[in-house]
Amino acid sequence: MDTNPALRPGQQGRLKRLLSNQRTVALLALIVLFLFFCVAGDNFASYTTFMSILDSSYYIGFLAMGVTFVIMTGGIDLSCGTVMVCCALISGQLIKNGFPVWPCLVLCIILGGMFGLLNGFMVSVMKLPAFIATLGTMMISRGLGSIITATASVTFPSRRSPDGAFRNIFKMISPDLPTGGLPTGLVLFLVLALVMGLVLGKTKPGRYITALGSNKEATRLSGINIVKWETLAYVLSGLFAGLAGISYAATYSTLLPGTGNGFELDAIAGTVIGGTSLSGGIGSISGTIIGVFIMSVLKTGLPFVGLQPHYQLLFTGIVLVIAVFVDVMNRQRQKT
Amino acid sequence: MADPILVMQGISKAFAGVPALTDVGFDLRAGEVHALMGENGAGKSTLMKILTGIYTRDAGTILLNGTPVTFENPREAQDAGIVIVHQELNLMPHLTVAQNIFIGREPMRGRLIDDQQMIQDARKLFDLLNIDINPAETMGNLTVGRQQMAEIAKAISTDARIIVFDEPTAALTEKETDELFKIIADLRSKGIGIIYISHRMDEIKRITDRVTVMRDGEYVGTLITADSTKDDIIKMMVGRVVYETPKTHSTVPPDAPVVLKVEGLRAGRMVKDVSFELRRGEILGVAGLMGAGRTEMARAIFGADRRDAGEIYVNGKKLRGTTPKDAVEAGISYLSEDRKRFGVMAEMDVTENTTLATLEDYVSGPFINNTKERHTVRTYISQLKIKTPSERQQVRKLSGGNQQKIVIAKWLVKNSQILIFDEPTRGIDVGAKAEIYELMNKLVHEGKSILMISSELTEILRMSDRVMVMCEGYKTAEFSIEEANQENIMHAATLRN
Amino acid sequence: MKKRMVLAMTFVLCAASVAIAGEKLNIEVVSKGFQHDFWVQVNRGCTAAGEEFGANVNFVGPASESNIAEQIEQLSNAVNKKPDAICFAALSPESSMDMIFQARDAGIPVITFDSDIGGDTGGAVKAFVATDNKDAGAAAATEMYNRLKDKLTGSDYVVHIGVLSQDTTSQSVGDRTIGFIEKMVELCGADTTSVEGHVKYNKHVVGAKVVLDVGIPAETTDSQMNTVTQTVFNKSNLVGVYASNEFAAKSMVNVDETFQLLGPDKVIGIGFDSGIVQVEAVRERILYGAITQNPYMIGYLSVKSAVEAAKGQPVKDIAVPFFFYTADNMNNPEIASCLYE
Repeated sequence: MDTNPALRPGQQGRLKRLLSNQRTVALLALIVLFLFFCVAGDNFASYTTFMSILDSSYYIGFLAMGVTFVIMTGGIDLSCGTVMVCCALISGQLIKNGFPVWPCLVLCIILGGMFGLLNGFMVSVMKLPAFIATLGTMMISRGLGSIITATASVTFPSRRSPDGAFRNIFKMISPDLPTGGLPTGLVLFLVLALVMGLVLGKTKPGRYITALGSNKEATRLSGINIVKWETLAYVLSGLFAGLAGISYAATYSTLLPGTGNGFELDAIAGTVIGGTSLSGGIGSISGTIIGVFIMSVLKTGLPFVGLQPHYQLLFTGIVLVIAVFVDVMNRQRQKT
Repeated sequence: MADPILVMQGISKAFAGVPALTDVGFDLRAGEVHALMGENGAGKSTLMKILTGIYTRDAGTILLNGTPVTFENPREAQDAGIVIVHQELNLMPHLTVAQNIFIGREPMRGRLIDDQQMIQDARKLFDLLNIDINPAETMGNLTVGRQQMAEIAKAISTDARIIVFDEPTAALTEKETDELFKIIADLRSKGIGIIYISHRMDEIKRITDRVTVMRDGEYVGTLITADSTKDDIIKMMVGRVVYETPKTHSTVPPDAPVVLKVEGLRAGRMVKDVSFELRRGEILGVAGLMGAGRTEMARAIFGADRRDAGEIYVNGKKLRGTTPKDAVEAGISYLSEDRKRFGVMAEMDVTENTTLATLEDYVSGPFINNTKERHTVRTYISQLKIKTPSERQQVRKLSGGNQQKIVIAKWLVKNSQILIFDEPTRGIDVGAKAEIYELMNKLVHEGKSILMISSELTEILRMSDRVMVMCEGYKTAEFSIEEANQENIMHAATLRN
Repeated sequence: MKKRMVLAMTFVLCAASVAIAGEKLNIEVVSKGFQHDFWVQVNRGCTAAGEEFGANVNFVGPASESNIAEQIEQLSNAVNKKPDAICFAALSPESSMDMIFQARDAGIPVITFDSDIGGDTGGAVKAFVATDNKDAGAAAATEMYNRLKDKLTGSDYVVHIGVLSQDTTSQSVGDRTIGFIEKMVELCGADTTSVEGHVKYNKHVVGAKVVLDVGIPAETTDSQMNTVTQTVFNKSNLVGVYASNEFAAKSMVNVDETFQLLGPDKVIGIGFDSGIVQVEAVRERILYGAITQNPYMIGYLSVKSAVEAAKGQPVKDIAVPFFFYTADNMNNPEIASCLYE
């Protein structure tokens, strides 16, 4: 630690510094991937493909936005995928039983927040390891979803019925509009991303969450109520899981009980690809969004170059490992 | 004198284009203790990392017994007889001492490890060095000092001819330090060359033969220790005289109000019964050996750990809360001895670290007002002379002294009236140390009060208006600065042993 | 807390054994779970038959159709209870084989329904009650061919037909897929029809006039199924799409929201089974039609056969009739009773 290159920033290449930021690398990778599919894939560069990418990005994107806060605290939320399905199942079941749609959707988000509160309580008050606490919630939410629906699938009101109007939040379709519909969800998605980005980067809660991820004890010894802020991160993750549930229902109509496992890993992968450190304290919402889009562009694009969808898992895995490796390399270089 | 066993000439090294070492020379003779000094960032560690094969040099030569050598990795250096005892020990706390020493080269019987042989070998080694450690003991159960001795034994067992000590006494008690020096003297008499890195001037005077001083990645000069004074060395390091004279009398008026009163404090196993008063504008030094419960006392006052009994009064008002938040609101702040674990948010920048305790003051509407924040932080950067390229610099990249100043700045921004400083100058270079002393004097002058825990008696005597001594969880003595001296403090610190 | 649970469970078990003590036959039904509404109808049929023939019917199924291990455990539990007969719809025929042999050794007759086990079960399986899925798939192919005859035979360019399937492990879904493919190849001519997209069904023909593009997702998730469907929808000169179960048909309808390719004068979509999304799409003529099985009948006849087998009477395989429904005939009482939402 004897040298301190940081004291002489002028001597370090601008480009090099830019490349040492994982988020920038991820953004470049996203652009390169997108351009590659545009050139190499027939029909890839089309409005409908764009819409397909968005459809498969929303729910993972929302999950990832929420889980970014948890990872920023140095924790992990393994339950967000099944919580998403559970919340959507419960609210869908209520709609099926004749309850009005909009309050049920609000309930879906609130339920997510309650699961988050449970996670937050277990992690910050009961001091359970986040991995175990959220693993428990994963199973609880999965079981609860199956119990409440008696393991039967739940289908949300279709676009044609008046109750299906909520789907317009994510995609507006009508004969007057161009084929493929209007990506209204993108607006919501980007607005929320912007808001959460500001929360994380520019507000007190965001600063405290970052601080406790960077050094929990030091944050506590600075006179900060870490129980409150750590719990908040889990609650945010839960609320976003609830929202993700709505977007999932809007996109795929039907939710199956017993599913949801694996979505949390997609969300975590997107977050990590976008430069958020699993040890906490480093990360950004914009990076997470980029990470999520890398995954969905891969998923949607690979079939266009003649590869079957199961290759997506393979390639996402490779991207994930490379992204984290680049980060590790950069950090090592900075240390010396 | 004998021919040098090691000669380093014209060593240069740059990281990402930034020079860390420029044309540095160094030599070491057999049976010599050669100190390597310099402020943090001077390039000492980099030079030693090049010697031990952790880094490769860009230019220069290394001659070992007259033969040019190049080490690609630490293993090659070790095979050539060069080992380093790191500041932060590299050991496996769950293995035994013997297992730690012989890791990677265990004596075998057939395909199985011969544990008995290993323990015997370790015992022989300890006998040779006059170290009293049970080789079958689990490493984690030893004190830091003992662990370090085991590490030295490990170095010797590899037939090392050159041993590098990187700040070996930073975590040792006086007694352990004495033992270490005995071992070093012993090694020297066996003809082993020792490179000794330390910030502690009295140690340098005590055990080294020569001193080489580095500054800003360059070689400044080499002195014969016996022929030079502390001031000579310090001048070479910083280019100015930094030591101020020890305090001879308290500057606190006798009628100064009591701002902090602790009565019958008991917490956990380490704090059994502590009562004291701290006055406005006073520095109360807390002396004691390691394990005396001083840090634990501070943490209990601050609410970082649970307190089992006792009352705390701030400005005569009873402190009811039990969390750090309550303490901070009552105007107490705590500067931890372990900066890395309890002090800084290493991944965050200077600004974020500095305003963490006072963030409420910088929030306008939903957002943090970055301009206001920056303004405050800049003020403190210049006031505390924090060396950082900008207020957005990641704290991880700054030196220990500057990190310490940032933690202090955090509490100054909070305007806490009672500051608990736990080992405020640990691991900090001489220049920064003097600045922190200066700062502490300025703070009490402004009417703040400081409870200063320190393991350096010179520091206690230099800074305190009053000294209290702890031993095994009890307060065993209290002296005015006029009556306090090394002898009576040490006596009180070992009273219950 | 734990103690109370144990007590409660003991109580339930006691209650169960009291019921067993009666004269009634005990039939264990291991289904594919309730994820799809199809199985709710099967359950109703089973219950009705149980009441009619005086048997206790215990209907179970895994939480998800990809949960093969859970189903095997349920089958194992069913065998261990030593019921008078077992009705079983296999998620994975190969994995269930061991348990089927155990049932045989315990002298419990097994009636398979919906999906057969296939192979030699040493007489364990007494009868198979199901839609003839291959026939049903072939019927879908015939309906599509009749509708597209001109385009399939008269085009001077290559036309594509999409075939969407949920997985390759389930016997019933596989039969519907292969039934459709074989019939379509036969109708269009084996020399000029190429099958592409999945190794299990591939049969490349150089210079083909008709290409069947088979799409099967890597895992049975909505998102993966949609990706596969999108790939099929992106083929140029797509004239028809066949989806071999409710899950795949739903994906076809969902993806079409974006692509808007399906319709009477556009791409002809044919689904399988019902479910709210699919039924509505047929009603609105987005899908041309779909095959519906008679799930109620399947459940009813399975339990009926099980009762007969338990009493030692001879039983034989039953092919339960299916229907092709379109917007025009879906209100016929006979068909409407098979549709569920």
